[in-house]
Amino acid sequence: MMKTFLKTTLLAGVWASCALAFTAEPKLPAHSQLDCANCHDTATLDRFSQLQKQLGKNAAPGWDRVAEAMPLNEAAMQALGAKCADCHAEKAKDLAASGHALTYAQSFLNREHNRMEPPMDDCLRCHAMFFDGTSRDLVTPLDTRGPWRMPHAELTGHRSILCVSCHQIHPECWLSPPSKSVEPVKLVGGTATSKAGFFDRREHRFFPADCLPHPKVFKGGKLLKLSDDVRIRICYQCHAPSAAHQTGTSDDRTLRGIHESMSCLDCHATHSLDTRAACAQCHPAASHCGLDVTRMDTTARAKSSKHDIHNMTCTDCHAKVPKAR
Amino acid sequence: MAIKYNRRRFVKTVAAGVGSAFLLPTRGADVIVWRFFTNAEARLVDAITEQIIPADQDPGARDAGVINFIDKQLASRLRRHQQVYRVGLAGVEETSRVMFKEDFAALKAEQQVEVLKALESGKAKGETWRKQSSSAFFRLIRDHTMAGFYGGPQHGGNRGYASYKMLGLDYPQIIGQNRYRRK
Repeated sequence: MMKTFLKTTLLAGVWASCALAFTAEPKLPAHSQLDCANCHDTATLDRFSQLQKQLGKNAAPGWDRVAEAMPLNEAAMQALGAKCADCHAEKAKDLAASGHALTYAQSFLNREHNRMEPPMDDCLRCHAMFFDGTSRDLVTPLDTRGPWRMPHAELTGHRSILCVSCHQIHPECWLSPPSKSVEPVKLVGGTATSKAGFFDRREHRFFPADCLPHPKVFKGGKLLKLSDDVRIRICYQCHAPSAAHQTGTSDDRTLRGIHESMSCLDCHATHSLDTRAACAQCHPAASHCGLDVTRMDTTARAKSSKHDIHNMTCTDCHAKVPKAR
Repeated sequence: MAIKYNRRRFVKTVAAGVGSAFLLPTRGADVIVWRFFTNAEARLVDAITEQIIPADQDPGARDAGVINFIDKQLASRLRRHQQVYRVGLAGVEETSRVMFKEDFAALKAEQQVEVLKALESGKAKGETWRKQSSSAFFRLIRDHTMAGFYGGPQHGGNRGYASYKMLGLDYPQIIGQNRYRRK
């Protein structure tokens, strides 16, 4: 009788504990189901294994320790980009057809840009975030006179922006800090399962979108209203205004006029950046005033655009302002 | 309202308790591994730095992971200070025992402050301080604490951008680099 009681108690206890443990487990990201070898080569896995041995079986190495032992390098990141396409073929295709599919040559040998501003290390923050060297290793001379060339011709076709530039593969919760005696590394405001964000080259770490600062952009002294969509924070890391945060400066694309406060992603598809279908989502193709919005010249890229969508005002389309009744 | 225990409820409660006991110890039995410090030294440095920048309404040195910064730097760029730390930390423990008969980390906050004041003034008691200056060691660990708290997180400290948040600094900054106007 006693033996049965103890057995039942033990089994029930283990069951109860397991049930508790599983229900308390945070929701795991999709990649947690993958084997490490799906993405990482044997050499990388061996190094990781050595690191775990060195730190002790139960001491999960924190990002800090992993980064020290296995610093990210460009070759691995470029190879990883190709691996992403194995499962996310459609998204990879969209990205390849987008304006983000820049190569190093397109980024660093852009004469129009380089004549106005010399290539510099900070360019790498958005155009070669995983590159192992400096701007001097990518382009020479570093001036506005040119002619510019890439000293390492084999790099010309490398992609400037990779999947991992904006997507975190390993959320922070996967690896704990070096010591359990202190709180785990956690970016305040961040969530363990965030995946879209920005890889900061200077910090060598990934910032989930909800941990990035929300932009503040001004037109003169007026603070423009921006979308609350946290994803625009990723866009603003590269498409940023200059230090005074005035709209239209540097590479700022803040919406002004009638589209103010809309999110970048209200119109741009996430990977292709395609906007062709965007207007018709809100505007009837043939509006009551006879304008076909799907045929209007609304590009923000060309200076000759008559209806730059990022700066459009009511009078751009409605030249005659109705009289007040 | 009184809780009535029948046999079934008792068995359930006991079962959950016993079962949990099998799991809980495995979560807490992690090995603490530092690059340079021993576990005891790490506890001591953690306590010292927390007195230098204590938490109030904002995070302190402990929250900002300053210990990780100092440990990381002593194993790399600041390797030249290793011996000073090894001797200095032993000295802090010695002074703490002379003054209060306890390890520094076990002292009350005000006692810890007294020990640190003694170090800073160069009047700390203990044989160790015949080998090196207590005030020089205090200045060193104070400077490293500040660097770990206010410096860039890539160096191992300022965890969660604690000091940047305290100062209201956005990070990573939103700042374009082009000096010419796009339009």
